[in-house]
Formats: sequence, C-alpha cells, structure tokens
Amino acid sequence: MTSNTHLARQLQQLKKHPVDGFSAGLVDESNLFEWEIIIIGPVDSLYEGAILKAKLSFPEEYPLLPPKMTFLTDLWHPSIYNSPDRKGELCISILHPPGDDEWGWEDASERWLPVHSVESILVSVISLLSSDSPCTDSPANVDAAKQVREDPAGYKKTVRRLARKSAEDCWD
Amino acid sequence: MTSEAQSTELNDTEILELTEKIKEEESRGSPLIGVLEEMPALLKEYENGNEIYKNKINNLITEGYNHFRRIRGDGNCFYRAITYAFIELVSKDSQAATSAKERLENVGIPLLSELGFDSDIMLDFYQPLLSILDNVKDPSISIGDYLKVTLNDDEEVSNSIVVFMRYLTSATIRKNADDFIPFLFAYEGDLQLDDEGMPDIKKFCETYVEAFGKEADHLQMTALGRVLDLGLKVCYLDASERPTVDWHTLNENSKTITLLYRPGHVDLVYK
Repeated sequence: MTSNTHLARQLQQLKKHPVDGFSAGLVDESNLFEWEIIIIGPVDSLYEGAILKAKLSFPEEYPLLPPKMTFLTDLWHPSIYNSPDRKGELCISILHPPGDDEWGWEDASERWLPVHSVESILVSVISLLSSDSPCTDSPANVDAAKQVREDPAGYKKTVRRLARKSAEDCWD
Repeated sequence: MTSEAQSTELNDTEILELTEKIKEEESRGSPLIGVLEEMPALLKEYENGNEIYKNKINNLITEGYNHFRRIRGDGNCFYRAITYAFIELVSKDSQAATSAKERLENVGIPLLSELGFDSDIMLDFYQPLLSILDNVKDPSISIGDYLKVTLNDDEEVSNSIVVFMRYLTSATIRKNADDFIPFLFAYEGDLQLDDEGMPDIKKFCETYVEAFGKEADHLQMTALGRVLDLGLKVCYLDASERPTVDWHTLNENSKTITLLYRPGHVDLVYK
C-alpha cells in the first residue's frame, strides 16, 4: 500500500490531541486514505445536539490534491448533494483545487492548498454548518438552496428535524 | 472536439489554464529531474526549427555552457530546478551544506511560523530537505546518485520539498510585502485589489505561489533566492531577434545557480 507520512502524522496528532467538535479515525486500520469522522452539531446552530457521520476519502496525491468528504447522515443543505448518485457529498470551495472552475476563476473564496489538514477542513465544515442562512450560490442541492431563499422557516424546520433524527439514529 | 466547442471563445485565463493542463498531461512520464545532457541535445530540439534559437544556443556553448538538465514541465519546474541546483551547489563542501541547513532552521522555518503556517503541517514538507542536507555531507555517497534517488525517483519527497519551497516563497513575499507589491501591479494574471486599491497579497500568494503546479515568475524566483541566500542567474532563451540569450541576475550572491528559462519553462544549465 502507498504510504503517506502526512496523513499518518495527522492521525497520530489527532489521537494525542483531540480537537473539540469532531472526532476522526480510520475506517479500517490498514488503510490511511479512508477516514471516518463524527461531527458534534455546533452549539447555538440549527445542528445543536446533532451527531453527524461522514467519510473523508483521500487521493494518493494528498496533500497535493484535496480529499472528498461525504456525509453518511441524512442532511439538507445547499452545499451537500442529495441526488442518489452523489448523496451526502460535500461541495465547498476549499475542497476544490485552484483552477477547477466550478465557481469561476474570479471567485474570492478559498481553494484547496496543500497546507489544509483534516483539522482545518473540519473547522471549515463546522463553520459552514453554523450558519443559519447558508450561501446559495452554485448549490449542490438546488432544492435546499431554493428553500433557504423562499422559505427560510421551512428550511430551518427540515434541518432541525434531520439534526434530531441524527442523534436518535446514533443511539439505535 | 465538436464544432460548437471550437467556436466557443476562451478568455485569457481559460487559455492559460488549458495550456497548463495540456503541459501537465504531456509531461507525465518524463523524469522530475533529468540526467546531465550535453548541449547538442538541446540544439536537436530546434533541428528543423527556428535559426534564432540555434544561434543563441551555439553562442551559449561558445561562452562555455556545455551541459544542461531537463526538469519536468508540470508547473513546478522552477521549484524543482532551484532545489536540485541549490543542494548540488552546497554539497560541494560540508560547511556550505551545514550553513544552508542552519539558515533554513534559523530563518526560513521561523518565517513560516511567523506568518501563521501550522508548524506540525510544515514539518512533513521540510523534513525531507533537512535530512538531504545532512546526508550530502557523507563523503562516501555519490551526490548525483543520491539526488536522483531522492529528488527524482521518490515523488513524495520531491513533491514535499516543492510544497515547502512554495510556502517559503509565499512567506517571504508576504513578510516583505512593501518590496514586492509594486511588482504585483505588473502581474499578467487577474489580480484582486483590496478596498484601498492595493493588491491582495495573501490572495495572490495562495493563487500564484502556494498552489501546487502554478508556474513561477521573476517575483517568486527573487523571493525564494532571497530567503535561501542564493543568487540566481537566469539565461533567457526565446525567439526574440538577438544573436545571444538575455541574462538576468536575481539577487547578487557569491553562491549562484544558473537557470535556463524558456517562456513557460525552467531547466538548469551548467558551465
């Protein structure tokens, strides 16, 4: 198997010094490239009390190329795909390399850089989830984006319901 | 390609990105750091082509530049070239290798922390370079073989050092923003300006310096030479109608390496 010192070191660091708000480990101890993540819903957000499971899949070229993050928990968010073929896949600018033009070159949002770590990715994700009125430009989930704009109360209700469900499912 | 796609007009940035992508794809499979070749091999590239190039190369040979080394054209060529030539240069005596390492430890690496780059993350990028600088002092190893194994054969090591060199360049530009900002206005790419109409140097660095695969220009070259305490002599070989190449010196220094620059690509040339 391909080695990756950079991932091995981060894993060791996160085990020694866990970071508030999430936990991270390998799906299978023999594969450094597949991580399972549990995010604790940020306090004072729609996700308070939620327990969100996700998977981070790293390419062999990490940290030159970004990992892909996919939520295993059912979520309703403009930046998270809901279509059956890409369900749960998170679409945020820092997980796209510069030059990847999904958002167009002019966009000032931050792109992938080799300096991003598991921790810095998750800090961005947690901050994304902390916003009650997320950005709806170039959405991954068009219906959720539409609802944010047209029916914010309904959006919040759906998110709260899924957040509660995530906590219940977790204890099943 | 369909006729519809052909008729679509691309803007400059899209053309640049497309060109970079094509070059990156073409270069896969060629060595990261090539072997030392004799100049006639470079002449051969222009065998059926432009006389201007042939004349310039012949004049270089007359000036005593007899060898060159090809670097993979994947957008990281400047960083790989300077790394290779830098280590090769300081390997000639063990005191120089020690000083080079000390300078990285006392100036370069602290600069990264000062600019807020996570030191745990950076460690993986610079550790391979520090250990190479230790190992080249071993008189029993062949420098050429050792650098081939580390900087060419081991892609992870080579790429880690490229990333480190990019961050070192970025930190130097950001730290000395006043020196570098004037040159940003001349930058050919799109440049974002802040509320006061000044270039956003952090954004510039993230886009044009830190991003893996982005080509370096004079600005990046000057900054990296400065922080490494290394002079760069740039031999500029292009199709301009002059009998000889143009020379640019970036950072006057007693320790100097020579880059062979052709628009969009950097190789090494040797006397």
